[in-house]
Amino acid sequence: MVCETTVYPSSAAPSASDLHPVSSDRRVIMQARNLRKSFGGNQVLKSVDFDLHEGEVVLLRGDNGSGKTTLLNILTGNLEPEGGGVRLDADGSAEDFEFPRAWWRDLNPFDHFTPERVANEAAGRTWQDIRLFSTQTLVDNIAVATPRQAGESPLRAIFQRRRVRLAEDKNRAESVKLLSGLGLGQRADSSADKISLGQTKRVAIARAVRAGARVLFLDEPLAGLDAKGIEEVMALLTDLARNDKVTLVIIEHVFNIPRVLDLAHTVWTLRDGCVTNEAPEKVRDEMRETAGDGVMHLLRSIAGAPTEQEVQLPGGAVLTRLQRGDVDNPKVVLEIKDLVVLRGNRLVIGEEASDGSVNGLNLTLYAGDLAVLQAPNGWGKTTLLEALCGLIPIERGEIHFQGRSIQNLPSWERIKLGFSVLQARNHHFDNLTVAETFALAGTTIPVEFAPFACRKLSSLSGGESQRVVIAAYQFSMVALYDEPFSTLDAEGTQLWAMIWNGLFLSGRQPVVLLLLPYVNLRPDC
Amino acid sequence: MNYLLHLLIYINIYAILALSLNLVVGYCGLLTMAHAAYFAVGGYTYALATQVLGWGFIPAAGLAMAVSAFLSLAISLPAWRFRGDFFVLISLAVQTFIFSLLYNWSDTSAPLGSWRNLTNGPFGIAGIAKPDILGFKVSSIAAYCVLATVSTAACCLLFWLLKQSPWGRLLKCMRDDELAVRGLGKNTRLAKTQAFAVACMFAALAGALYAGYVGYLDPSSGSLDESILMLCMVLVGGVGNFRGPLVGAVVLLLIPEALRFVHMPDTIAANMRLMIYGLLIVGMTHFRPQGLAGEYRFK
Amino acid sequence: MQILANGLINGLTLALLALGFSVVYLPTRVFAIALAGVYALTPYLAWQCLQWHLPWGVTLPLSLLVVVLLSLAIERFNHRPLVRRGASPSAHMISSLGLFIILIQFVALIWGNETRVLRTGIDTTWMGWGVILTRSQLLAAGVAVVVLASFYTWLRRTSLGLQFRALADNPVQLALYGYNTDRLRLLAAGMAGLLTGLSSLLVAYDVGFDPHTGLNVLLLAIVAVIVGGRHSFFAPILGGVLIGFLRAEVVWYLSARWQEAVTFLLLVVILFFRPQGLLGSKGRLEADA
Repeated sequence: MVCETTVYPSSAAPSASDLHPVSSDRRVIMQARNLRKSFGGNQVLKSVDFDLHEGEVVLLRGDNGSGKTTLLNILTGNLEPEGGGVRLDADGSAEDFEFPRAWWRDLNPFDHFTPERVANEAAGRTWQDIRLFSTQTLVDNIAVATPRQAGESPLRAIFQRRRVRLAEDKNRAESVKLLSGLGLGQRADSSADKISLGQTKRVAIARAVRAGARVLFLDEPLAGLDAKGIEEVMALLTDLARNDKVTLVIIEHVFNIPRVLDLAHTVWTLRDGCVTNEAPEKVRDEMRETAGDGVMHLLRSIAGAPTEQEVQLPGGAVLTRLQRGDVDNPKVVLEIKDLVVLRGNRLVIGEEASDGSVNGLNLTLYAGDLAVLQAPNGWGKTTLLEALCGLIPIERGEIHFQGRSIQNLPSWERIKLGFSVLQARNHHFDNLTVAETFALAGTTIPVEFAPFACRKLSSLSGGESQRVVIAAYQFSMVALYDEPFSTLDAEGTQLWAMIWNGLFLSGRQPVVLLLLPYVNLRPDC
Repeated sequence: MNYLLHLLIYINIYAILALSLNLVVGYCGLLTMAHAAYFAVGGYTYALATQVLGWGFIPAAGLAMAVSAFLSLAISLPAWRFRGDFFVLISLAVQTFIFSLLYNWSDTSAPLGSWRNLTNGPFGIAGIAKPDILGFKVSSIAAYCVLATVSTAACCLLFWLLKQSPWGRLLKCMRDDELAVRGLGKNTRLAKTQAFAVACMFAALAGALYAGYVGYLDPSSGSLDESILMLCMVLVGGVGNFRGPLVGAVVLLLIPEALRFVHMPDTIAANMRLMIYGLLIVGMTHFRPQGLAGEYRFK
Repeated sequence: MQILANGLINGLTLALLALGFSVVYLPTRVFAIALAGVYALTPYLAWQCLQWHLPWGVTLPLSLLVVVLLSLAIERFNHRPLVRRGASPSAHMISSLGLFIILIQFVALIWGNETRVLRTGIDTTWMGWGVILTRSQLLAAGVAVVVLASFYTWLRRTSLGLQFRALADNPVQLALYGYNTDRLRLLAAGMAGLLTGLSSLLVAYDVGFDPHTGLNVLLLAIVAVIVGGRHSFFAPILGGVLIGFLRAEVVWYLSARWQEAVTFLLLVVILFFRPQGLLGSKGRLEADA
């Protein structure tokens, strides 16, 4: 992550009155009817309907696990829904897709529901993890997106060299011009992995636009950006919406929603597998009311009138330590010093300073802490968890557990020393039965699961298998949870509350660390 | 002197093979164990065209390349759906299938080139005439060397042009992130099919050059062992750029020469060569995944 | 009927190898091409022991022990460091390919390229139900059945078997439950070596061996795994027996030359129309996007 000091975004936004409200007699360029999708036993999308009008800017919001990314993948051709229909009319010719696809349709190799098909209907997208072509230069990243290039046929590239060269020169010139518009004209020939996060996001947007998108789906474009980056991306999006009349569907998470609300005409809220339309003003009011509520309240009551300490971490993350009142002089249990973690070539945990050196992450947790690390999507919560558990190698740094250095130990050794970890996803064994899962965890099967004992986990619903996993979870000195509340219902949340309550009341003084996306807005938003 | 020319001819043949295989392995990121099959298909087509149909070098080689490009569909269509390990499996299947065709499509009672006996099976095709380029007979080794070098130079030029072209850029971006490329509306399947067609065409050209030079061809030149050797050549040399495959070709040539230099008997030299490759491959995976001079790592 | 019997027996020995491949593939997702090298090596070890006039009672366990140790060494010194570095499955496969080459060339260098046999003389035969079977075939069938049955019992009923199944499902989560997945991977490698060696010896005892059959047979085993369904431990048996039958039928109705072609045609058909295999369930495709 390359970022400067974190400053919470100011509220100076483009005036919403500049944007004409989009009335419903604008042309409908995309329509969805009754879309359904489930994974395993989990019905993620139950019945999604919407009408998307030309020139509209839509904010798509929903909790993690509500199906935003699934819906996005469906609408951009990366996933097929189980049922329902989509109509695309962004390029002037309407295309209907009904699901499930008739088998004879799939025989035609030119008529599949694929990303390139959807992109050719003028619908483009950006990814949460951006996905620029890192071994190519910036200008190549843009130039490759140009549709219908002469040189993309090898025969023409060899036998019509002059024509290809002329077209390519024109392509290049236009791409450099596009980059100059983003302030990157000078860096056109530098490699794409050498620019800041904000610049990367803007190049990705420009690339999608260059490919001819009239509808652009943006997956958390503001995640991980500092105030300056957010300004730049919002300016670009405003320009696209206002001047180029590109239709935008922006998925954003709680923290950045207010900025997007300034630009949005409509808000689609994805909840319980359905999309409801709301007005931006109403959503803004609603968010102000619920600020600071919910999960933090629950945690505070578990911790029993705690003292709170907040630590700002690089990249916009906040660590809140709730220290129970009845513990004096708590000992250090978990200490992280100068931790730097890379994924491939990308710096995930750690911060690049202006002189090019990298500062690692520092974090300390004490006995009896109930700590919450809130960070935006893309910050690296899961990477941090995996580094702490020993699932991925670390570049640099030390991890001390009760005074003992553990960064060189394999995962199971750390677990034996007293770590316990619950991942966000993919944390159960599909082909084992419930009874076997408990046997593996080393606990006896609780009474309430007895009727399920011989059923395979893959045959249970999402909520049921979550509860099995929670019940099988063994506690020790340090418990790490990655997004434990996503895809859980109220009952599941109560279950957690019970478990943690019991843990803290047992006198063992455990350390519980929750990694969460932002659960409450900052008061100055 | 003749010996040096002989080596030079072989370097050229290997270079063409390496550059063509690089297109698949280094630009599409797919490991294929079927390259020798297409090499052999090229050689056999050329041999049959010159012997049975009496064609000259250019039309015969052209036919060889066309046949091979057509057969490349057997391996490029699966590439649409499968990646990584499963693609290797499919390529092994194609290799075995084509080898089986070359080995079994024979009938000793029928003449060579007839439908009952297309390949002469394990006996191979002997007495392949020296190439005839527009009336000029390439009979001396020096002339053949010129032919081989010119062909290789043409291939290098072609590959260089393709690499610099928008098509080449498309392949490189696909290598980085195919899904993102598809999201831009590009037909990646077509690009892969084209890459395979070009790769197989040039493998066939190498096969034609080989058949014309050696004068005798049998199914062993299209065997799995040969495919593995070719794959090793590019893995050791490196893929994803221009230098890597050429380094690989040179190394492939130098190893048996080096073995001869230390007086290793010919009977075990072939085995030693492969053994060295095996060791190099394992070592490279651990210490230098990009190969000696390559750019793309199978990370 | 004779065809069925021959097909069944060939299928059973193939199933052993297919199981060996699965045992490594399911928990680790690595295409262990090196197993083909192990397959080639085992009969030569046995042959050498016989040359030194060791009785079968020593030869059999000794050769199997050596290949098991070899497989363990490969896992410990080749694959484990790659896992530590987070290498991709392709890197594992390439290194396995390199090891395969080394093993085959080692065998060819020491023992040469000709076909050899492990027994001499004419095999005694047994007749019943209109079928003639040789002693080697009966031996192969019997051993295969016993080994396969023991494996499945172990897998389903012991706690170590449970850990193994969990490893195949979700190795990360198993490590997070505190189980030493390095050791389980070693177990997988050792079992794969044992199954491969056994399969190889049974076939070698029946029809002889040479250094170059390894990869072709492994290929058939992989086809068997895919046809059966590559996410299940039971699938290799189904696939193996099916392929055995298919090839026996082809030999009878067409000719031995076309066995390979038909086998791979089956692979292609399955991969295009039912890529999850006969026993697999949809939704776990390793295909596109």
